[in-house]
Amino acid sequence: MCVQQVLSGNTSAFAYFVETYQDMAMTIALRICGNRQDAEDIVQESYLKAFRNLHSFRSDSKFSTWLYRIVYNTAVTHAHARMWTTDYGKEAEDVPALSDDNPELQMEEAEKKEMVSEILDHMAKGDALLLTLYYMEDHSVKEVAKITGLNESNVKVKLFRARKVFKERLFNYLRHDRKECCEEIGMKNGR
Amino acid sequence: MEDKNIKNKLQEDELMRGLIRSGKTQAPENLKYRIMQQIQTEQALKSRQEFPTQRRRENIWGEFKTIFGIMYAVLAVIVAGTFFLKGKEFFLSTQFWNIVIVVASVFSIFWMITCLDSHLREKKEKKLLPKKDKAGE
Repeated sequence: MCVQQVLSGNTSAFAYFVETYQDMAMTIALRICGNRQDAEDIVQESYLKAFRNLHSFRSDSKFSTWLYRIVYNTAVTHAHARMWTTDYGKEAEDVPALSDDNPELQMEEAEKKEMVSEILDHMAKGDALLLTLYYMEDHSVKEVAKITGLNESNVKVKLFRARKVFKERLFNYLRHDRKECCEEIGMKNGR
Repeated sequence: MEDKNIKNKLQEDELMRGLIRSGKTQAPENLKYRIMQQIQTEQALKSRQEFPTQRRRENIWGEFKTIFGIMYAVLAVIVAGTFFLKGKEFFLSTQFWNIVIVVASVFSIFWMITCLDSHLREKKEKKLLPKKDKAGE
């Protein structure tokens, strides 16, 4: 509906797409290029590309999927990033399942955000991006495959590994955090 | 047992979702305005570029009709004047045809200069307009 409005000359109708998808577009660009200023430029360029090529958008897929694909391509070209390295180094060990019982996970929203950002920043770009796409906006494996240009089975495998790495790093982070906390308390008591 | 595994997996997925969603980046406030402004500027430039081209084509066609219309009117006056002043025989003389050729040449050269001027002006305007980025992924 909105696409038709824009195509018929109502340029301001495009503002709806900018407002609705700019946060996720920004998140994708930031995951790939790792720099906020560049990410803003990438998002701006992607929206322009989307506007110019809106006539080529076919309604067989979601507008968001189409847009994120443009953002992905623009960011990869801009950052000259190699997204899908096959070498995973050592295989992640078996990690315990995440559950609500983990007391470490009961933290402030801001703290949680900082922790997640840090973990994702230190993961392989491709893995972090897959987790972001899959969990942040509930995209299906098929949609993630469309955005990244990978095939579905490849997405499933990479997603499985990425999840494992994320959990492992999350536990490491929490353990490290708790250790630091204990040391701090110990120092205070020692005084 | 299997049910418990599925339930755990779903619960874990839900937790992951919650965690990763908390890491969503907020786009800056001015980004939307920047994007919309660029789109509207581009759109305005595009329509400015399209409109003069169409108008110029109409202008050239109008000038063509005016110039050659005047030429035929002048020729008609010459023919009528010659007929009444010098008679029918003068139409066969070289002098008469020389006058006709001179008049036709003058108007043709004038038409040529008009076209050339229009072409040069269009070229200059194109140079002044910013180059359009190539679209595509």
